[in-house]
Amino acid sequence: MKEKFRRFMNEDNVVGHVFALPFIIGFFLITLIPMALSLYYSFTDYRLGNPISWIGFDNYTKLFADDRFMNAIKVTFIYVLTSVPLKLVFGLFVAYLLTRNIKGTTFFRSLYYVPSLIGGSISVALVWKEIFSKTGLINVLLSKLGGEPLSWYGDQKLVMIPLVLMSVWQFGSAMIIFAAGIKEIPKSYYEAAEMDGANKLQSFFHITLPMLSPIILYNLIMQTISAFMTFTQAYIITNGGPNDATNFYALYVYNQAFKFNSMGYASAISWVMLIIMGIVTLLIFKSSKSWVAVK
Amino acid sequence: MKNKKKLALVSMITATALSILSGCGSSGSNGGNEGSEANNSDQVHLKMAWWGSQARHDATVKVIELYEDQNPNVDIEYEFYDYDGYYTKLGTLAASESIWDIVQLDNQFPQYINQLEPLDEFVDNKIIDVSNTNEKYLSTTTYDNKLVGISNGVNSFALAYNKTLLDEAGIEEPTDDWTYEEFEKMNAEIKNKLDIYGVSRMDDFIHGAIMYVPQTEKGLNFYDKSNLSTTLGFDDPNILAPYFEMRKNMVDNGSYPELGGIDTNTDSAFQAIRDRKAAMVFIASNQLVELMKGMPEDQEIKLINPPRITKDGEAGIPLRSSQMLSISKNSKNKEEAAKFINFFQNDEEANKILAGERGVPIMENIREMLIKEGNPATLATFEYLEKVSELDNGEINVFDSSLNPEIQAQYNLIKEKVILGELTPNEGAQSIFDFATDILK
Amino acid sequence: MTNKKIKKIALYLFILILGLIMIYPVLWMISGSFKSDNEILSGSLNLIPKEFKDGNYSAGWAGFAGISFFTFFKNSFIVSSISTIATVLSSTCIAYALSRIEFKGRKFWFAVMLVTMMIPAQVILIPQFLIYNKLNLVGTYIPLVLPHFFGQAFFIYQIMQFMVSIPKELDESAIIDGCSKYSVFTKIIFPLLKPSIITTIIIQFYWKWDDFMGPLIYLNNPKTYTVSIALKLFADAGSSTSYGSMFAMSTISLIPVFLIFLFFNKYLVQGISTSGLKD
Repeated sequence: MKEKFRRFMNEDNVVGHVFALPFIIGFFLITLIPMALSLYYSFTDYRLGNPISWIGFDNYTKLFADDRFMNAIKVTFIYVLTSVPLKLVFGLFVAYLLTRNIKGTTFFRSLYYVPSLIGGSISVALVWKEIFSKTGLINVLLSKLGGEPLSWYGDQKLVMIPLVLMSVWQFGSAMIIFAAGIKEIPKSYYEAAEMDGANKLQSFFHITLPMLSPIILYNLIMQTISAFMTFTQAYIITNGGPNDATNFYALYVYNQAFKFNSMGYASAISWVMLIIMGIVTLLIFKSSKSWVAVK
Repeated sequence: MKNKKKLALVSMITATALSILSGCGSSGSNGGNEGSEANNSDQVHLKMAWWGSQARHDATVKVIELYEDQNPNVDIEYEFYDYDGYYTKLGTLAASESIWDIVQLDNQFPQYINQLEPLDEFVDNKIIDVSNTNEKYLSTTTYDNKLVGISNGVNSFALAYNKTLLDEAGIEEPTDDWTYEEFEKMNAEIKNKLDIYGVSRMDDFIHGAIMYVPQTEKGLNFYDKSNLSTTLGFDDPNILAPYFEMRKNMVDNGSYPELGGIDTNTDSAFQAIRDRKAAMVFIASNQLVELMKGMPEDQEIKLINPPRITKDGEAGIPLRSSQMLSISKNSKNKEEAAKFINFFQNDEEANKILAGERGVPIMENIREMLIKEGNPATLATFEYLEKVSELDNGEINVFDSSLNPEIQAQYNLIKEKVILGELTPNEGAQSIFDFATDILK
Repeated sequence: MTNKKIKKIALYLFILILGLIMIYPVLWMISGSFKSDNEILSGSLNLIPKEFKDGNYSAGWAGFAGISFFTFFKNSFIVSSISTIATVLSSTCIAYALSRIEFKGRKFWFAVMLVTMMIPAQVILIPQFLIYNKLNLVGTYIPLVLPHFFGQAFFIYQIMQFMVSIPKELDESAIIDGCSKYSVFTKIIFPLLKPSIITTIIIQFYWKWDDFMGPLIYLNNPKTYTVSIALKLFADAGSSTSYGSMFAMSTISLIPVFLIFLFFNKYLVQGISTSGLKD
């Protein structure tokens, strides 16, 4: 009997489930049930503190006609499509620079990583807000260079910039992962290329990039998902303005749920965005088949 | 075996951690909602919460401890947050019908009206003593003919202006019956003569909607007074247009900050006054004390009521409750909660500590006591509110719709569109009118 | 000067200036902790305060209603530490299953894990709250800490990648020697995950430290508040924001960051080995 038990416990199927058990349990307890509840809410008119009433698809038809929601999707996409590539490119660039023979690479690598660590704090968001204010550092620098101070938070066309820059400022997380990847590329590859007459630029595009492509994919997925969920910066720095130019969808959900007390509508919006994000992620994965090198 | 030991160690740590955690958090707060269960023997547990600044938290807790000293059988568990955090938390508690026994609420209370216990009964059997106040003050917290809370202080709206600055520019002070036309002119003049903003911040929704509609005609209100603000109280959208136009003009001529500027929060707007970068600012009267902190001594700041539409027209200005203390419908200790509220509002020693920071107290004896204490900003506030009390025509609706946050947010969005030129003032007025009518159905 | 040397100098310059830009906001915040609120609001950019004001630290430290920041720091430390340990233990186990064990549903659970990263917190906040409320757990630290015992998707994915760089041959030879798949994990895999674990610790600790939504919703007694709520309390929308105090306490919050710098510097890159990143 004991032997049977041992063999049973050592079957891959069982081992896998045992080790994955925490996630599975957690998923059912604290994720699936709340998600099911929120799906239910999305079909209701639910104002916290008041009775719930079923209204079917009304919330969903409402959101397709909701200018503010459509705008929220648009500005969120703009934010994601600008901040993520910039972050990745910059992260890769700096990671590459730091693999050269310079003193203090570990120090600088950690230094560049600090913003990613503390970026989520309120104080830092407030500092960033101040830096781009009318009388803040950026405008002072602009004037010193002979330009005019700009109204970063007052101009719809400009306001995305401080937020994107704040995101790019946190490129450290992507950079570290790229740095690790670059380290692992065997030096012999480069040496062979050099012998064949390739210059640094060619090596970069023909060796480094392809070797890094799986990592680029990983970073792309992670950064895209996190960019879609951006909330704190919009909440603290611009509060969605001006004229909803930075009304990211996470902020809109929060306002609907807790400021306007429309829990039902907020839930509907969230589910729509979840589906959109899922589609985007799927597309990225599908496209990866054509550009990610498999060993 | 090494592994077994590791496993055992880890499980032990985890178990200990979990027990610390469940003990840690609940030691002071009796877990989720057991707090106000009916008393076994004499011990009464009440839960209370409020929002505010560091000073308010310190003062309020001192008052709670004072009460607990005098009433040893009562234990009050308190929580405090910043304004946004408070209402987020309130929302979650409302969802589980476990709002604090004693809850502080401002003009957002209609959203939670189903969770509040009327206080009339406690007033009737004298548990809450209202002998030191009058009908006018009590009416600020009487909703649907029920007393839903006792006001922590009344306030109203004002413009604070820097008289010293106006004198330097040779501009005459505003008068009580000044109009929006004069207001706009004065701001342009300030800009031209001093090259600073005329006003650093206005609360547009209050000026442009809540006060503007009653100023148009006596009896009209943005939200209809007769049906508890469940519909709009006016039917001509064009009433809202002139204010939008004025606001756009002011931004265009530089007498008002542009979008995203110093008017986005009170901190920077007040600082602009201190730095002499603007001559006027909208305030709720209980914010005067805050404004005066750090104000250079040689600048004289005075209060004036907001402008009106025509010189002989309605002042449009109401006396409101800034915030109140209410009792939760699900409280298991309503009478004890009422007793505490009575103490909070009536006790002189308690109010010395609170110092009228939440607003001008509705109890006359407390007001007199604070006058004796002599803080000049407090005195100026009291005087101002007496003036408002005379200007208040009694027809103005001081209660917002429960959908007010959404309507107000939309109003501000439309205002931004008008300022940017995306909508004309009339289009903006029509748009917000339609929006509000639509969601109030 | 040779071309090479110019390039090198340019490189150093770039890295230094970039470093300065990276750190400037932090420096500004630290300097702000020594300024008066008025000076901060007046938009002064100086890194050296006009009037050195050390009162912010004592004012901030005093906390609220007699509860000093010592209590808040202690609470944050407890919550962050326990969450971090829990994350490490559970995420490594789950990563092991998802990347090393061929079991039915592996691909399914991997996809589910990715999806959980996309759920916006605001919307499951209320349903989760209702559940914890029914279980009478509101007001304790359990709702804050419990999810971490079930793994965190971000770290699971990251550890999974690192794990691939550990040669499967090690597993195989251990099994041949008679180890069960369980001991392979505890004896071989887990110890080799050390760099990745340290990275996880650094990141998870700080994420938890900065989280204010969770503590706001689930904590009642002010004595149990964490630093994140306490900092937010300085920014009350109804009255003025005490920037000085907030920055002062935030500066103190940075101390762990500096400690990490000192001790765990080198692990930051080591911990993210990527040699086997493939689908």
